[in-house]
Amino acid sequence: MRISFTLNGEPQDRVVNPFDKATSILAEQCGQESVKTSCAIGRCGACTILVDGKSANACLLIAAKMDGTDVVTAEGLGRRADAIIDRLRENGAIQCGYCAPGLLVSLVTLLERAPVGEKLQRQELETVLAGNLCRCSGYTGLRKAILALSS
Amino acid sequence: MNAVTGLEEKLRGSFRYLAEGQPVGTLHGALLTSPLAHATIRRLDVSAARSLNGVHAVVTAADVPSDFVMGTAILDRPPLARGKVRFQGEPMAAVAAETQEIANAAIALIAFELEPLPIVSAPGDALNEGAAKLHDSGNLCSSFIYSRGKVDADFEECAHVIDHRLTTPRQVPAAMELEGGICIPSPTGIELRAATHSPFYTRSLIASMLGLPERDVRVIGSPIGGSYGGKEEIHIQPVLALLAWTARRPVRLILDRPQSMAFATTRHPFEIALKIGCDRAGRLLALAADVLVDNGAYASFGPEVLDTGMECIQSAYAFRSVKLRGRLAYTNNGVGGAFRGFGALQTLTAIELAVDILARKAGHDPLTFRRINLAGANDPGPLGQAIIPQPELPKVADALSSLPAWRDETPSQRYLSGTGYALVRKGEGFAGGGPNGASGVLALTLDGQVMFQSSLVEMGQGLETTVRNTLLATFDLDEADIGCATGSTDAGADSGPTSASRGTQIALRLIRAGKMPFLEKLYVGAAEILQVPMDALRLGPGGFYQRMAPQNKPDLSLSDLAASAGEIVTQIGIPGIETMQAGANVHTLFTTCAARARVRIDRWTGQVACTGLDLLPACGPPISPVAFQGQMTGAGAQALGFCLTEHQPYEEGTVMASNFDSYFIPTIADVPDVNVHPVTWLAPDDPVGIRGGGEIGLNAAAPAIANAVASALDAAPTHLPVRPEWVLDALARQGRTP
Amino acid sequence: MNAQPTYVRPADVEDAISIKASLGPAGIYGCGLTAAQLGWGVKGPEQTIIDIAGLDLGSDVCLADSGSMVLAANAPLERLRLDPLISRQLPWFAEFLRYVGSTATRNQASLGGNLLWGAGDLEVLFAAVDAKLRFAGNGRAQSLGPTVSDQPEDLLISIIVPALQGQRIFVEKLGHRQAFSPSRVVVAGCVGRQSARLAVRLAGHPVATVETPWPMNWPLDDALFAGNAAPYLKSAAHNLLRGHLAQLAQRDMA
Ligand SMILES: Cc1cc2nc3c(=O)[nH]c(=O)nc-3n(C[C@H](O)[C@H](O)[C@H](O)COP(=O)(O)OP(=O)(O)OC[C@H]3O[C@@H](n4cnc5c(N)ncnc54)[C@H](O)[C@@H]3O)c2cc1C
Ligand code: FES
Ligand code: FES
Repeated sequence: MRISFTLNGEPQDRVVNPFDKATSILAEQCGQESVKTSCAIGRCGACTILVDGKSANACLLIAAKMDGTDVVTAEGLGRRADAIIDRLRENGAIQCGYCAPGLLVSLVTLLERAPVGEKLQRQELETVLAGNLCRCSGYTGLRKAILALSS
Repeated sequence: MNAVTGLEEKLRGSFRYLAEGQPVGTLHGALLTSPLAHATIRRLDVSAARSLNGVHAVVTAADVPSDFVMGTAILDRPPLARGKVRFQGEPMAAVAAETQEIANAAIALIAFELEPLPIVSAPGDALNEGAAKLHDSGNLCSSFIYSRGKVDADFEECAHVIDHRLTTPRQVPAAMELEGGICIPSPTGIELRAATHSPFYTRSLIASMLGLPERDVRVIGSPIGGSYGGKEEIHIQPVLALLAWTARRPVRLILDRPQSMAFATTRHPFEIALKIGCDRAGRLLALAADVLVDNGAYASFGPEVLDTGMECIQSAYAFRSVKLRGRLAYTNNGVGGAFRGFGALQTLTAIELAVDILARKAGHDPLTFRRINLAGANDPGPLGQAIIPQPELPKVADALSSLPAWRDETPSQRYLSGTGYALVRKGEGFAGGGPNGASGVLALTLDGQVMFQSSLVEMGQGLETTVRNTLLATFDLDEADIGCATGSTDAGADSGPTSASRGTQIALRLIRAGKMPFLEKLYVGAAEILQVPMDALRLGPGGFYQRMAPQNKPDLSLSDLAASAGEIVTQIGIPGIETMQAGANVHTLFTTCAARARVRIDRWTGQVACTGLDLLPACGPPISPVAFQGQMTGAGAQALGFCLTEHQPYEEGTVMASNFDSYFIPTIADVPDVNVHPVTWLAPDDPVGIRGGGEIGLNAAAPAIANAVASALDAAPTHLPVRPEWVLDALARQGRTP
Repeated sequence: MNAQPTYVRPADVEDAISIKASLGPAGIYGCGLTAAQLGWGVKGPEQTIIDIAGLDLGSDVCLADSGSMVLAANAPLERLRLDPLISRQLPWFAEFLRYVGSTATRNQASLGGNLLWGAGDLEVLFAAVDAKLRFAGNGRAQSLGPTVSDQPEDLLISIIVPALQGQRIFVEKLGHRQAFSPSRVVVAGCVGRQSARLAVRLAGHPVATVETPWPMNWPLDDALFAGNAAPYLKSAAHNLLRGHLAQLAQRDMA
């Protein structure tokens, strides 16, 4: 089938098998290597993208469902991510970085939802990020970075 | 300062890992793996697969030299199963084809017949008379024996003696980046881009398999998307190289998660039986230990893991006598290998649990008990070997005792809480015999950068930052003047594996050793060009300054120096810090760490949560504080997984957890903030001045968590991860069920 | 009729129903497809997917005059979790949603899919509060339970949570770690003045529901704890129910 969607603001038009996964469409056909595949079953968050402004696991999203959507990957976050990246750097929140693009996508939605200045509850932060596994960092730096931004 | 290089690129997704960014026309690889855990391969017919349109290579054991086997101490593993399969998920054949669909279709066309053999599913069974043999040499892969003093007599003298048994989990490294890579052939050789801790070792292995001279094999081994030891063992590189060399086309081969969960080397499960005793004053007298290790199907790092575990089983304490036995048995349960902690994690957790049990029995608090039993600063090492003195031990114990108290928890009918401590040490680098020495290069490049080149690899631990910080501290230069090249065979300097916590130590010592000879060359070159004596010159940001004329611009920039003098190169070699001891593989440089953990136990469900963790690593002043902190917090999370959530069970050789819906890595909600309190003091005459932080945090955190469970429950865990079933049983036995 | 399973997006509810009618067993409704996919294998689904995610099934959440709450079957779980009306009226539901999947999964997964796929955690909670499912066509509204198959022929339109004045609700999930885990045990209860309705699921078993008088008689009915389930699951479920009920009873006394 033919699908069209926007990817980081650019219109896309592709012929796909309806049940292909967005991970392969984005990484292989659209060159978005920020969309990692690690578990391929929705259990690690490495493939997290924004679909119509909401975080989603690309590995659970079939191509047919991409039709008509607005897709943003870590590569398309632009200025929205600047402040977060600085805090992540200061707090040593990222090591090998394989989880990082998916995590950044989740973080942007989290922080844009809770306006900076309003203190983000620790529990809410953990609820929103529990789907982004990071094997390296132990999350301490990550939590500090977010709390620093939202306090 | 970044803890890791490329941070922004990593977050924004433009950072390239080794299996990404393949050249146009790269073929897709796929694997055929064994569905059975133990079987004779009766037939393996790839002819239909070979003749499928779009297939460029199909390889099996028949394409590998018949005497080619892999391993470290023991060579027993073919890259593709030969004659027999010994674990579920063992690769039997591989395909390279124009699309992934064709490659998968070709795999499906391979006809094979496996004749099942009896399955060896536990190390105890493996060593029984009459057990099916995995290898002709029998199922005892390796063993360890050591004794000192008169253990039996000392137990007689003890006022208190306890026994404890602990079985530890098969923990999977489970890096987010899967094992895989890209291999690009040229008419005469190959370029292999795949994660490794040891580019030169990988190169020699692949070259010998393909019958190529080493210089025709280029290995790029980093950056790595997480390893923790998991990618230290040769993984899929030989199969990938074979495919590319056969197809004469670039090939990309990546395991999927279920393949990785079966194929990747895991932490060895240990069954540890300990008996320890102390006198009336609480002084430890005797230790008897019997350790049985599930090695899985191939030796891999098993013998070294066993040796390291046995060497660490006394933790940081002075026992008067010890009697140790360890055995490593082949089973059909996957393959055990290197994983951060390397055998020490298992035995340290067991001994630290036993020490707490004994302390309680003898009526001592766990901190004092540890303090009075610490090894002396100048004592020989645990196996009687000469070691670098450890005067930091009492300082670590003091720091542990003076941690601020936890904030009180609100008392609850539902939850119990407990605090646990640990104080451990582990050898850094490899045991005597190495590889412990290393080579590296300091060079002034043609574009005027002082560059440190080594084959050490970057896997997120912050090696590159450490190198850069060390260069800045060693030479009076600016950020822009320095550079570092890591992770490949390009520099021609084999720095040995980046493992066993040695990366930082090696980088630091190489730069220190190269400093004077390198500076000498720079000064000679600069003096000649500026026509002044060397002692009239000073190296500073950007280049050379004449001492007498203070100014903000160098008289000779580094790039002008390079332009006139050409590339200036200093080859550096450092010897290993090691002790050779007959009959045992021993370490010389030890790292100490203490930990305190708090857990909360749910009396309704038996579920355990870790609610606080402090780590006190005695690694000297961290060269890159943020990266060092990250090593500790990450170690804390992996320790938590080891104690509370992670285990890959096998049932009759069958993998039970094949993805993250059944293998449970801690999430952000599981891991408390890990507080790091570095103990920076090391002896002023310490020959290195720092210790690596890669493993030691894990080795201290896990026993502290296990001890916290023991203290909350008044019962020490016998199996890790702690099973909630066991918690409910323990509570029921004590009449403490809600 | 068509051999090759494919994917269709109906224009509206009638369209969906007529596509389903023409496909018969060769078609299946799907919403987030997060559960449906679990059974697909590499080749994709065996039936044509009629995607109802984009249909207008009413607003996500609606407070009826009777005090009952009407929830749209295709509402994504994360949107429900953050919905202000839910936070006010059904705070225990919003709170429990933290433990269902991850944020990204909840953005894709729907309430209807959770209740129908066969092992959804919310089934336990909604059984305890005796929510009704309203299907299209015959307009039947039915209770959750064994009669609702996991592949209904009818289109689920909405879920009605009855007015729960004065009832105390508890719900808890036991997983393998603190968050984002498949469940081992889910227990829920809805405790009124005279009676309590309890629901339990032990991993791999159907939801069991009982009505008991309140204050209740111990011990709990054994039928709640699926006969052949692992003893641990039974004791954990038992302790959880007992614990929550004891806390409520204590509060009643106070
Ligand atoms: C990574 C991951 C984690 C998960 N974690 C959890 C968890 O913690 N707890 C939990 O309960 N579940 C969990 N699930 C399971 C499942 O995804 C959710 O329960 C989800 O709510 C299903 O919703 P859906 O819209 O994706 O359903 P779909 O997959 O679209 O549908 C599921 C079933 O319901 C039918 N169906 C759906 N909507 C309708 C309708 N309106 N009318 C008629 N039939 C319909 C479909 O035909 C199908 O049989 C998880 C799934 C994944 C992939
Ligand atoms: S790859 Fe999509 S969640 Fe793991
Ligand atoms: S930084 Fe390595 S997985 Fe997160």
